[in-house]
Formats: sequence, C-alpha cells, structure tokens
Amino acid sequence: MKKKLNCILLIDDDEPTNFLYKMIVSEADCTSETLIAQSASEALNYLEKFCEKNSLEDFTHFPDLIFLDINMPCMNGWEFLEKYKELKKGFKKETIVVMLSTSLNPDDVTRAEGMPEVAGFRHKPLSIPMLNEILKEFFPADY
Amino acid sequence: MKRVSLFRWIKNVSIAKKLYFTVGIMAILIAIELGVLIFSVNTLSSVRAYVTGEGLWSKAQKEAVYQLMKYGRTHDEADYEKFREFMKVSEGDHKTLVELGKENPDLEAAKQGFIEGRNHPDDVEGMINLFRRFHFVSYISKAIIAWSKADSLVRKFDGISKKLHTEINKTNPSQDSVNHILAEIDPINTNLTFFEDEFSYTLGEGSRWLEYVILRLLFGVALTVECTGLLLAITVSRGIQRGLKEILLSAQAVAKRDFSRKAKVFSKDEIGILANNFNMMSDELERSIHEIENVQQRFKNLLESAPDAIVILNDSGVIQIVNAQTENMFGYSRSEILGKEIDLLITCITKKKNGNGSFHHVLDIMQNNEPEELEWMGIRKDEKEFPVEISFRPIRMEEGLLISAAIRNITEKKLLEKQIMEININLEKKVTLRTNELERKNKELEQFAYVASHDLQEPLRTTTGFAELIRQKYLGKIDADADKYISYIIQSSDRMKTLIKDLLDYSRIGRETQAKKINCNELLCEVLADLDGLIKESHAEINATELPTILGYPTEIKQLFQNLISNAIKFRQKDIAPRIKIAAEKNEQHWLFSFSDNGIGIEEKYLSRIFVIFQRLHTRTEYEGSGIGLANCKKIAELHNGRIWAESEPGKGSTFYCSIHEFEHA
Repeated sequence: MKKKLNCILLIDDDEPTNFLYKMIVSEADCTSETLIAQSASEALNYLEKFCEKNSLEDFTHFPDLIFLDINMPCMNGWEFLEKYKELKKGFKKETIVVMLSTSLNPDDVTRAEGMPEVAGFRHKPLSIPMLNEILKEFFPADY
Repeated sequence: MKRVSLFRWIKNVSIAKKLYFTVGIMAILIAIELGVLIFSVNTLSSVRAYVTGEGLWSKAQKEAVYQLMKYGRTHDEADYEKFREFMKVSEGDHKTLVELGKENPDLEAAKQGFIEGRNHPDDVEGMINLFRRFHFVSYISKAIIAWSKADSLVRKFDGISKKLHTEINKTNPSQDSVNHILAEIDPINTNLTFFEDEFSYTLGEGSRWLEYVILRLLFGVALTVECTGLLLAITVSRGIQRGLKEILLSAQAVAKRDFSRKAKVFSKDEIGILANNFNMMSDELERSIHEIENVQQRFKNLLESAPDAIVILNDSGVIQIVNAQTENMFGYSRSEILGKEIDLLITCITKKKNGNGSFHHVLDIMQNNEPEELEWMGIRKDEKEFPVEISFRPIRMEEGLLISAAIRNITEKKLLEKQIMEININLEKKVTLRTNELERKNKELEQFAYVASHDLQEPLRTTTGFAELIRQKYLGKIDADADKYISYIIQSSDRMKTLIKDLLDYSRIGRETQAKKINCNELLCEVLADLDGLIKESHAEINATELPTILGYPTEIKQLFQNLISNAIKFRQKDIAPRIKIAAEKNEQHWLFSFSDNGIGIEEKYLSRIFVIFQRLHTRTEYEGSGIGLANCKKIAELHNGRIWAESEPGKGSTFYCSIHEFEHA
C-alpha cells in the first residue's frame, strides 16, 4: 500500500527542468504537494519558516524530500548545503536531501558522499523509475 | 646608663668632634686645677698674714706691758701715752674680731680694724676671707678661740692702766698701791703669752694641714686630668684603630679576592663611614669582577662552542688563541699551533702565484683592498688540503690590533654545490621537457574544445531545425502541454547554441597570433554601432574620454569592450537609464581601462567569482546569459599580460578595471 509523502521540494534554476520534474513527480503520484524553488536562497527562505525559532507548528508543508541541483547562479548547491547544515539543527522533522546534477565529475560525487546532510547523489534527468527507487531507499516503511 | 650613652655618643661622633671634646675636657680640668692652685696660694698667704699679724699683735702687747710697767716706776705720762699707742694694735684687731663675730658683719669696719692692727692693707682682704670661709675648720676655730681669749685678757689692761693712771695722778700716790696694781699685770701677761703661742701654733698646724690638703688636692686634680686625658685618648684612638684595622683586614682579604669578609662597622664616625664605603666598594668590585669573569666565560664558551675553527692572530700573523674546533679541523694540538704563523694552517689559492704569505692577503682584506672573494685551502697536520671559507674580523684592543679568523670546512658544501648544480641541470632539462609536453597537451585541449564545440553545432542545428519544423507545423494543434514542450525544446536548443558559440569564442581567444595597433576610440565606435539596438532600447548614455592607441589583439580587445559595455547595460537598475563612463589611464607599464556604470552592482563576496567560467549570479529568467562573458574578458586581459577586477557598491553601480600591457613585439 503506497503512502503519499507530504511534500517534495525541487531546487533548480532552470525553468524547463523544473517543469519536467514537476510533471514526473505528479505522474508518480507520490506526494501531496510539490514545491519549486528557482534558486537556493528561495529554498532557504522557505525552509527557515520551519526552524525552531520561528516555531511554526504546522508541518503539512514541510518537505520530506528535497532534490538539489549543484550548478546554480549566485548560491550553488554546495553553498546551500553549508547554510542548510545550520538550519537543519532547528528542524523538528527529518528530511532527505538528494543531489541531482548533470555533473559527471567524480569529485562532486565524493564530496557529496562526505556530507552527512546529503542522503544521495543522482544524475539528471529525473525519471519515474529513479524516483520510485529513491522512495524505496529512503522511505522503506511507506513503500 | 648615662655612661653608656656618653660612650656611645663619643663612639659615633666625628673624629674632629672627638678631638675637640677631649681637648675641651682637658682645658676644663686644667682650669679647675689652676683655680684650686690660686685658691690654695691665696689661703696660705692669708695664713701667713695671720701669723705676721699675731707677731705684730704680740710685740705690741709686750711693748704695751713694758711701757705700763715703766709708767708704774717713772710716773712719766709719756710712758702712759706710749702704752696707749701700743694698745691700739690689739684694739684694732679687737674691732675686727667683734665685727666678724656678728651675723652680718660690716666688712669695711673689719678691714679698718685690721689696718689699725698694723696689718698690711694688701693682706687684709685675704685675712677676712680666710676668717669667714674657714671659721668652722677646727684649726681656724681653735685659733679664733685663742685670739678671742687673748683679746678678752688684753682688754683687762685697759682697766689696770686706768686704775694706775688714776693712782699716779693722785696728789699723794702710794707706791704700794702702784705696785699692787702692777702686780696684776704679770699673771695676765703670762696667760697672754700662752694664748699667743697657742694661736701661732694652731695656725702653723692649720697651715701645714692646709698645705697637706692642697698638695693632695692638686695631685688628685692633676691625676684626674692625666687619667681623663689618657682615657679619652685611648678610647678615641682605640676606636679609630679598631675601625682602621677592620678595614685593613678586609682590604687584605679583598686583595686575596675574598669578598665575603666585610669590614665590621663599630661607629658612625668617619671610620664607620669609611668602613661602609669600603664594603660598598668591595661589593661593587666583586660584582664587576664577577661580570668580567662571566663575560670572559661567555667569550670562552662562545669560542669553544662555535661550529667554526676560530683562530685569533696578532698584527704580525702569529696565532694567539684557538678553539677546540681548530684542533679537530687541523689535527694539531693547541700547543703545536699557538705562537706559530697563520701560514701553518691556511693558504690562499686565488693568488698563490704572487708568492706572498697568506697573512699578506689577510692584511689586504683588513684594509678592504681585496674586493674579490678569495679562495682558501686549509692544511691539516697530515698535509692534506681541504677547501675552507674564512671570515676575518679586526678586534681593536688596547694592546693593538688583533684579527679573528672564523674558518669553516666547506668540503661538504662544495660537494653539495656540485650535486645541486647537477640536479639543477637535470631539473631544467626535465622542466623543459614537461613544459613542451604541457604546451602540446594544452594545444591539443584547445583544439579539442574548438573541434568539439564546432562539431556539437552540427547535431544541434539538426535538432533546432526539426524543433522549428514541429513548432511551425503543430503549434496550437495538439494541446497546451505540447505547445509548452515545443517552446522548452526551442528555448533549450537556443541556449545550447549560445553556449557552444561562447565556448567557441572562449577557446578561440589567443589563436590570433598577430598583435596590431588598435585605435581604441575607433574600436569603441565600432562596438557602439554593433550594440546600437540595445543602447537605443535601454536609453543608455555612454561617455568615453580620449582613449589611447595600443598594441594588442584587435578581435579580443573588441570582444572585451563589447562584453563589458553590454554587461553594463544588461545589469541596469529597473527604471533607471544606464550611464556608462569609459576611461583609460597610462600607468608605468600598462594602460588601465575603466568601465563604470550605475547598474545593480555586485555584492563584495561575488566580486572574484564573476570571472570564473559558467558562474552566474542570477537566474536566466532575471538576466539572460551563459556565464562566459567575464571569463572571456579575464582570458583576454591575461592574454595582454594584464588583469581584470571589479569594484562595486550594490544598488549604486560597478566599475570594471582592466589593465592592458603594451606589446613590444609588433
């Protein structure tokens, strides 16, 4: 029996990419809500709301899963993770970050593996089988 | 306690004061002695005067008795007058005796009495004083009693004489009566003689006693004077001697370098101060000697611990001092080297041909006549030679000039130098090899990027073509989603096209090999003409100062201008017409171009990142671009041996600086 996730957050600066991902996510029908952030700072602003000091009690819009792009203007994926590391301490709920990149550079994979904040690293593009696999890996109780 | 404090006072007072004190005490004692002497002489003189007075008194009394007896026989009035005359002596003395016996005697009357008693006027005062001062002394009081008794007896003659005078002057004087009266005289006279003798005897005894007392007194005073003088002299001199002896002993100890013996301080006088000062001096001396010894020890340690062989020569090149390292280095013992000439140890190989001794070169070095580095060899006892490095230093001493030579064995250094040189040569060869290889690889890479981006265009063009075909044929005919997909495909293909073109441009930079003269004013005009559409659309205002003519790569410089100007227009603030100022300034070796705008500005933390390829600060929806323009500019600046950087204030505008070195290989 499939159980839907509360919310999935997509962070990518490329509009067509976001459009495509949103379509895939909705086709997979695995979440009640899909959010799109077109920059890392937009995503941080959104997540800050759930931080302890802001004491927002309603977690219905809190993302269970985050897809993060690396190469973004202004603040890239790595810089986002630095800030996110601090922010995460204030969260009352667990969340899974999966990096999603076109990068074929093995250094990026190694770097991501070294970061406890990053649950997984996948190569673009996102597809329904990849999404199902991710859900099975990180939410085994629900799938 | 008082004695103790007096001694303490004498001990601590200055030597001059001690002397003054001693002499003062002596003077006072001598003055006392003199006083006693004068008093004694006066007293004795007075005693003598009394004895004389007694003689006069007795003589007058006897004469009076004689005259009275004569009168009794002769009845001659002249004899009676003579009797009265002689009686005046005892009457005068009687007056004095009566006066001095009173509580408050009239001294003038007493004096007068004595003078009437035929005493010498000069003696009178002393006689009265003796009576008054010493009447309680047994001898004097006994004499006074004798005098008083005699006096009262003498007074009886007055009555007898009056009776006699009356009898004789009767009309019928009876000789019997006369004889009867005269018979009264004799027993009185006999008694008087007794008292007169007693008076004289008592006074004589008194004077002898007095003499005895005075002699003892004088002796006593003299003894006191001598003892006091001696005591003071001993005290003072002993104090001085003791202090001086202390200092002397300490001085002897210091002479034997025993600084622990301190001079004891007994007093606070000059000797005490001297002792204190001496102790301070000895402390200071000890400290100084200790310091000097320390310095010597340090020098010795320094000398012995030096890694070099250190040889100290006198001004004629004879070895004076060496350290242990010298013995090790040359294989001689110290005694074998000392006193020998320096030629024993070293030889100068640079000027060996001159034939002069090594010391000749040393002197030349000392006088700065040896500008070139000399090469020296050390000679061991076993005659083996080895290369050395020597640094000579003059040491100017009181006894003349000494020269220190620090000798270092550089056999290993020479060996290492040789090895390093070989390694360097090898390294250079390797570096050249690698550089060539790298250059080749770099060329290959550039070629690859160029070819790849060029070849990538081919399938892209096909994709774009078909996408365009689909758009024309099927837009609005399938559904809204399909329209969106088509537009995304075309959008992404266009982006790809731009990226490939920019990448191509980027890889092409520097392919031009010929630098040319570029009139930057003309070049700017061309760029502005190319950007005309954009400028008009944004109402941009572009001002430039007079720009120079430089030597460079025209295509690249044009691209640089174009990128910077189009960026300035692109990143303008909303609703504010862009104003761009272009200027150039000649610095020492380069032209510094500046492009200032009134655009959105850049946060400081991004100022360096903007020049990295594909780095963008904004999403494509905000500002178009591939993130390659400023990377191009950087590559172009570097191609012209310059650099590019930006200064900015977010919200106010940015200034991009680009330095372009002029090429000289036209």
